[in-house]
Amino acid sequence: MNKSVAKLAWRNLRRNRRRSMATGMAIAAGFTAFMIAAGYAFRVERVLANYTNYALHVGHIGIYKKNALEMFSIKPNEFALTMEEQNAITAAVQGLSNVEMTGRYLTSQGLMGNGCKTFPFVATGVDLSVESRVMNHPNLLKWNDHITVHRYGQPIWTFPEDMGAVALSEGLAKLLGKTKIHEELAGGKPVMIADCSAPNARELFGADANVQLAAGTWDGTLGALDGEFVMRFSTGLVETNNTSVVMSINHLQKLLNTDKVTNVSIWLKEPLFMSQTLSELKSRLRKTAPSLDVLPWTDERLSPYYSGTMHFIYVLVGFIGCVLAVVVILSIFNSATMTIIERSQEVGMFRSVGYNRKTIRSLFILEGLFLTFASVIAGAVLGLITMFAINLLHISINPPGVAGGIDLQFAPNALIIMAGATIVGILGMGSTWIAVSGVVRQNIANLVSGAHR
Amino acid sequence: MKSQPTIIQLKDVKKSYRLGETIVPALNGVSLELKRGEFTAVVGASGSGKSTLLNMVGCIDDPDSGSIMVDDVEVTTLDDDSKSDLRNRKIGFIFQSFNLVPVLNVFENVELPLIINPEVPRSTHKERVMQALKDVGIDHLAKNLPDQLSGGQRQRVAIARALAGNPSLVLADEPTANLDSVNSHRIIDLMLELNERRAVTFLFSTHDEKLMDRVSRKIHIADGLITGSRH
Repeated sequence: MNKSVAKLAWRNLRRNRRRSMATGMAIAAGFTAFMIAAGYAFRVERVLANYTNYALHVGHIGIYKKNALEMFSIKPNEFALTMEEQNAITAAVQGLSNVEMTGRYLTSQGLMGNGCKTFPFVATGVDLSVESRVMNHPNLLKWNDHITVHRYGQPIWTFPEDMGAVALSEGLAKLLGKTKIHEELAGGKPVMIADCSAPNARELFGADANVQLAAGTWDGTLGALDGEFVMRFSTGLVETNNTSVVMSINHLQKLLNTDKVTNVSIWLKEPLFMSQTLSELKSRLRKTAPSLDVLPWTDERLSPYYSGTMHFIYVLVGFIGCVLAVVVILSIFNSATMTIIERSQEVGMFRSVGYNRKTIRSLFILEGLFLTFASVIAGAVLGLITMFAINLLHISINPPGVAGGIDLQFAPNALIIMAGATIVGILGMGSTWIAVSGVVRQNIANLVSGAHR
Repeated sequence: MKSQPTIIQLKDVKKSYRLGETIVPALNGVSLELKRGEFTAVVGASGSGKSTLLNMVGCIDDPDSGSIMVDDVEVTTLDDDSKSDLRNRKIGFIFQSFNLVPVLNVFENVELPLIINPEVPRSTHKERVMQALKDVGIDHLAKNLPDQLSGGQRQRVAIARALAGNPSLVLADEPTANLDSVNSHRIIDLMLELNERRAVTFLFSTHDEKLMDRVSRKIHIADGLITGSRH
């Protein structure tokens, strides 16, 4: 029976081709818009998530001293992780099968000079061996391949630990007048500049990869160290592109005269199972180091840019999704209502030869489903072609707060497309059901004679 | 004929319709008995209650009061699904405007009642449909669409559809109203022939007096009441 009803439903769609086409095109256009919005949202989410996880060193799980996220900038020494706590974390992480790697991080502010001028910096001290793995992680390179475009020079992990290699953000390097990096200067000695107001002063800064770092140590004195400018990079954000510095954690600890670190980041092999690993880790650390915060990377305090941007994007996609839902509901409802009114005598005939209400509903719902399905396929194909074409064009956009602009790219996701198609199908069936229900409950004699209209 | 068992029995059936503020009586207490195998015409002027009577017997409309037995089943107490089932197994309908599905060919239109009848195996559909089409003389048109047929041919398709499920009773509401006189007579002849050959009970409404001499029983109806019944 179902096969025959399905065959009839399919043929009925061709009865009024113009109406079916108009309804189908409305749904297809809506689904294309949804796919493009979802493709954009999915790519932005993946880019920001991987940028946050790897480039910003947040990892998938962050371990901090309790309340450090609020208090570390005020009392860094008190709210940093001690050696004992670092050891406890190392022990707790051991044996967790989902952990890919861990890294210690130290952040501090200070002043950086070129011999004449000083500028504030925000430094991140990194484990060099971990940094190499983090910055070359396949996930980061897959979604943030633009990062390599904005890197110039040799990464700090390729230099000896005791060399004091530093990577400067583009803006800070420019402020300091550091136009050339270590490898371009063949390891020349620091240049002594007698007169900072001399016309050739900027030229002299540029001919020297040496920078001077100064910061208040955590035991209350002043620390100063030399650094060697080996690489410049873009943070991607205007607000950090003039201040960011990356160096080895040992070098920064030396500058601050401490063996403490700000946090330990943990990367997972399978981030989907983060909550299980997080619970296990919390449980283990509760016994050995109870004064720690173990946080998922999605905590707004760890990933404010990701959270803020994604909230906005989700609202945008949600709005487009709602518009699509209204388009689908109204199109199908309108089409089904007109169709069933036109075919009410036929419905009466079906009822009189023994078809019950459920079967009649199924017939019309199948018609709606076929129409929705065909429209969704058309919309999906159109959406894929559009996204592919835009990706090929490499259109550059400059969102506020982003340094250097970004390519407008889309990443279609099969799961999102299938979920969207399923929802559209359900909406199509639901609106057909509502449109049809009133008519199939009508008196059969009235339907047959057309008297109910 | 009197020795045949009763297939339809109506007792004091009343039905009225609401037209705005006005209540219009359609049947005013109709009682009627039909024997199996009868070929009966319900005759009356427009608005006399012919169609309402057929609708009641065919379980496509509900009476306000009274009792209706079809093949020993009291239909007024059945739920909608049971009535659908009863119509499918025991009653065939022929409509004035044929009511064929335009996107289905002749074969598929005739097959419609069989599709939902679980007692008819799918493997027998072809044989049954083709037999029904042969009985009405249009088996050569099985693959044609309804809009490729004449009015008389379309009504034959409707008759074949009504007969395909081997019903006990065929109801026809003004089956010749949309046909010319030649085709009208042919259709009535065909129904008569099928009534005799298949022993199916026919109850049809008409206001065409020229067809009256062909029927075995005439029921006259006026103002919702049976005013006469002659064999």
